[in-house]
Amino acid sequence: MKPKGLEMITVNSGDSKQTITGYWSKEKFTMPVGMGGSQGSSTYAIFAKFGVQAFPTNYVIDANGRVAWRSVGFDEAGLRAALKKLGVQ
Amino acid sequence: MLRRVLAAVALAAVVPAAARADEKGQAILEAAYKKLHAARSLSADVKTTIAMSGVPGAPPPSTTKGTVKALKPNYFKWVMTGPGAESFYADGKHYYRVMAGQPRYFKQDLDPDPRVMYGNWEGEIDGFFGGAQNAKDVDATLAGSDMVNGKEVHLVRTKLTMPDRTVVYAIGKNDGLIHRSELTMSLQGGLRRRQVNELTNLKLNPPLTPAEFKFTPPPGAEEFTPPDFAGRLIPVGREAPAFTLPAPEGGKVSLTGLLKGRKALLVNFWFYG
Repeated sequence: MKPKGLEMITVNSGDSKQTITGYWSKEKFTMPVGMGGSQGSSTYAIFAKFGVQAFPTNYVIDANGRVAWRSVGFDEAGLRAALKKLGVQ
Repeated sequence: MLRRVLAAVALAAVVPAAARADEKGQAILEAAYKKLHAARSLSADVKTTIAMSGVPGAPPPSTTKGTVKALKPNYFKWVMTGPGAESFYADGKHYYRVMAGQPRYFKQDLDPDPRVMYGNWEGEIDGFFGGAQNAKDVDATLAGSDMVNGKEVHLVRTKLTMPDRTVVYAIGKNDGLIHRSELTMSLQGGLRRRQVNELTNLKLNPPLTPAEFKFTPPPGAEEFTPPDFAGRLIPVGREAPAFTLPAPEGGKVSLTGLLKGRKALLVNFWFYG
């Protein structure tokens, strides 16, 4: 399903390993997950670093590691346009 | 001419009875919307009853009462009293929503010539602002007759575009006006919500002026400003901070590792809850 040249990661907030793996097998998801953990854990800083205040928040990072696009909520049209700009079809 | 009549009869003969009932329901509904839309102003007394069902311990039905006034192109007030009553105002520039007992009210921009006003009503108001086009694509069927406040009415059932939502309208057989709307919808966990609006003392083209629609916030209430959830996001063009996170099945995932050899990386922040 994934377009060529695109990788995806989902960064989870607060759920347990079991919840995530259970959800992944139920939905037959294959994309990688990073566990952001809960407030107070060492990994949780990622949400502040990316300025995440609501879920879902999405970023597109280009090949040079720069932010190409971001949004709060689902914005499929915006996402498609951003990926197209980066040559991902 | 005769050939056309014969053709029409032949066509009519193959149309199933149910389809004819549907067309009649649709025609009655569209005529009601048209009649409302043709009016310059409208006023009525409103009684709203909301009932929940489908799960044990659902709250008891609640009733609020009030009045509605509307004036073209964009003046409106739906003022209700009672526990949890919601009121809506459009003063020609802004749209306001007030909940009884809440210390804040919501304000948003208003279209100069709106087709709909958003709130706790259906066609009884959508018809006034949007006309018959708001009655298209609702899959209307004639569902019988009833009496509402001494008036004989047609019952027209419509299906809304959102799944499992229906509205049954009571439309006067003599005046062609919507006297009642009954919206039912399914909520999460088997809960069902039923909202009945009953309009009495309904008048078309009563003398109303824009000045009557001036909005005054309830004493002590403040305008609610929605939080800006996008305010702290990293600006476009800036380097994304590197990260390495544990994966649920063991191992680690990192920004640089995932980006390697790719044109783009989509990073999605989520939770299951």
